[in-house]
Amino acid sequence: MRYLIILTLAQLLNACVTTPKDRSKFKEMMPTSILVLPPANHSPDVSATQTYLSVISRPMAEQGFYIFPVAVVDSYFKENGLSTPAEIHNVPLEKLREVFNADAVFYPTIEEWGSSYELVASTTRVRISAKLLDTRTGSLLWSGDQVRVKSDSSSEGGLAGMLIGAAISQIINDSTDQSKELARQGSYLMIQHSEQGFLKGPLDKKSMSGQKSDVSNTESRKAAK
Amino acid sequence: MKIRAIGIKHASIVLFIGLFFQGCVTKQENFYWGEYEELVHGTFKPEDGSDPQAQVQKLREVIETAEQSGKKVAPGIHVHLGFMQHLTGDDIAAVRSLEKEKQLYPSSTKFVNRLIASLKGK
Repeated sequence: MRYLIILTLAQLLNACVTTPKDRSKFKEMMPTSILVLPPANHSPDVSATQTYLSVISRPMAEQGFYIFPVAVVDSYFKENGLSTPAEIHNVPLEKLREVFNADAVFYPTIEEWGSSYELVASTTRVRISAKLLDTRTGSLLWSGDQVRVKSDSSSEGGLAGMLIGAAISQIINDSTDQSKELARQGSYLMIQHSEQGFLKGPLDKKSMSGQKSDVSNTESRKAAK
Repeated sequence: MKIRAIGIKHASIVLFIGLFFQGCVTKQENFYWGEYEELVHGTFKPEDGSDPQAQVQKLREVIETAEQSGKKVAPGIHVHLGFMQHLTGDDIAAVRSLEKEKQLYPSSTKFVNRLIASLKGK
C-alpha cells in the first residue's frame, strides 16, 4: 500500500520537476490544421518511416487538430517528384501553404528504431524528435523528443530457440510489432503530455475554444485583415 | 474511532489513485477511427492488404459504423477512401468522398479541391 502511494507520488512529481515547455507561441498562433510530413529516418530500418506514419495521426487529431491524410499526402509528394523525406522537409513553407493551406507543419525524425539482441535478451528502442512550424510566419510553435524502451529477457525457446530459422523470422516480426507499439506510445506521450506536449486544439470537444464547425485559422486570419 | 479514521484515509487514497488511472484509461475520443490506422499502414505494404478494392470495402464499413453510432469520422478518412476509389477506377465515387471531407472538415478545402481538379482534369 505504501509502495503504491510512493509510486503514484513519484509519477506526479516527475511531471512537476521537468522544465515546463514554453508554448506561448503555440497559444498565440493556435493552428487548426496540421500537415504531418513523412519522417526523416536515421535508423537502419527502412520500414520505420511508414510504420511511424501509421501511428502519428490519431494522437495528434485527438488532441484537437485537422490532420491531413498521411498516405494520400505521401502519394501526392511522390507524384510530384519528391520521394525522400529529406527532399520533402526542404520544401519551402510558402509552397506547402499554397498546396495544402495547413496552419502548421510537423517535421518528425526517427532517431532510433528497432531491436537489438544479446543471447536470450532483446531491447527495443524507439526515439523520435520533431518540430512544429507555423506556415504563415515560419515560427517554431513546438519541439520535442521522446524515447520509449522495452527490454525483454524472456524470449521464447531460450538460446536453443534462437538458433532455429523459424524462430528468427518470428523475432523479426516481433521486432516490427514492438517498434510500432513503442512508436504509438511515444507519439501519445509526445503530443498529449499536459506540460510537454501540444496544447489542446480547436477540434477538441472539451477544449475552451472547441467549436462544432472547423474553420481554418488561416482563413479567419485573412478575413480579419 | 481509530478504525474509522484509517478507513476514510484508505478510501480517499484508493479513490485518488482510481481517479488518476481513470483519466489515463477511459478517455473519450473526439473521432471514430475503426481500423483506419491499419489501412494507412497497409497502403505502404503492397504484399499485405493495400489492395484498393479491399480498402474501399473496409473504409465504407468504418464510415457506416461511425454514422450509426452518431460519431464523427476521423480527419482524412473520406480523402483516403476517395484515393482508393480513384485507384479502383471509380472517379465519380472518389469526387463524392472528397466533397464529403470538405463538408466535415473545411480545413481540407484547398487540398481536396486540388485533388478534385486533378481527377477532373484527366
